[in-house]
Amino acid sequence: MIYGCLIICRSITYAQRAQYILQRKGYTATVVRPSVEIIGDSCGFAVKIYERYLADAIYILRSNGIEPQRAVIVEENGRIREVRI
Amino acid sequence: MIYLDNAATTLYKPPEVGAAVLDAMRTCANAGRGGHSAAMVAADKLYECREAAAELFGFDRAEQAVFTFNTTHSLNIAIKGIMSNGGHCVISGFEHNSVVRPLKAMEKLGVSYTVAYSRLFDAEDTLRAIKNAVREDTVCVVCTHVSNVFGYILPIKEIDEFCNEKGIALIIDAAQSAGTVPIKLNEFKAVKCICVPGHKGLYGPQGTGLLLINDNTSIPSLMQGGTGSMSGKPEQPDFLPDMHESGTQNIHGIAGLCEGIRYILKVGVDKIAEYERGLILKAKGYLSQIPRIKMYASDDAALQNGVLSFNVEGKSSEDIASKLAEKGIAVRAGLHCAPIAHKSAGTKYGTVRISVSWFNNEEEISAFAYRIGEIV
Repeated sequence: MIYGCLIICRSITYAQRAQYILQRKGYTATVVRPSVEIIGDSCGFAVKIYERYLADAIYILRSNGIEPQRAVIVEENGRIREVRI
Repeated sequence: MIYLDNAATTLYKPPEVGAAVLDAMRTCANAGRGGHSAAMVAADKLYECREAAAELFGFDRAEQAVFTFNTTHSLNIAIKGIMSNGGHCVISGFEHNSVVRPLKAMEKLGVSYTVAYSRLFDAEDTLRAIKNAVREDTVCVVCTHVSNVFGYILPIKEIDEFCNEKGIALIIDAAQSAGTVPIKLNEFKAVKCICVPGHKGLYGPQGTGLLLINDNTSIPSLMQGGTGSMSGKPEQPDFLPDMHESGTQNIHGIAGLCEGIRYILKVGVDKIAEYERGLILKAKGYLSQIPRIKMYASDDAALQNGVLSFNVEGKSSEDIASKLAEKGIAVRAGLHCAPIAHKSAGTKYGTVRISVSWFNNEEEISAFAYRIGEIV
């Protein structure tokens, strides 16, 4: 399972663009494919970032026309915490 | 071989293109499917190519670049999508069969179209003909940027202005201009789609193409299937690029295309345009000294890119092309899949066409002219 703070995007292209935009702003961002428990039936991709930068990242992405689907924090014990965005 | 058939496909490519294809064949799995490293490498290749296309063709969002198999594929998505509710379409008098045939096939679905015939190398006449052909129920204009037969650069900016005033969608066929004449999606107002080949002026492999979609345009998908997104739903995703990219992509080809686009970005489209125009001017100079040759060329260099058509009095275009082929010179003869362009220009039986690329040189043009002199 992939742990950490994940911004769920509706497709890999959106996740890649999100990664590209965040990296250009100096944030560490990685495209990952979360498990079905996290993304449900969407077969989507996510951008993993540091939790402390989540609010900044959401703001930057929205300013660049990317509307993230959801944001979650996956803890090491497997617990999934939904973050309101 | 002296290759002067670049309007059909560029044969000589930058070495980086082939190297990228080989590398992708060794390293790329299926993009957007798995989360393993080989799938992510493949996804990165696609994304890099979208970003390179965005830089070359002037648009902001990578997802506006949809990968297709060729320009015909792009045109089919654009035309059949925009005309899906029926209505009337106007096409310029220089369109390829890849525009005419989809429209012809849609006639039984309630689509009609008018060909706006106009004089060759007469931009005012071309614009006037399009304006005159537009009706109350016109939904769309389809216009080639550059004629594949004559190299005629059509007045697409003026056509875009007109379509914008009338609230009509404009589709541009950039089969001959992509990589050889500057064209930027975000500089247009009415343009909904630009249809681009990967294997011609962008120096990518065959089997690659792009459909560049205006940010505010939503057109129904031509083909549906697996996209690696929204997989739990039976409906096709309604967002770009997934809605138009069903099935496995030509990732190996796209990796090569990406290097082709980067090469164009490095050299510069303006520089390529000027160079190719120079070669055509040279060819025109040589051919004008040979008796019995009729050229279809413009005196205004701004109206013609790296394509030149001609005929030899009393000889068929196919005969000339065959004789040139015997002497190691590759050109194309006949109708070039664009019969209406020949009707516009009055070249009913076709022409001999030479088309140059960045990889041709003046010596080759001189050798071609020498051989033509021998044949005539």
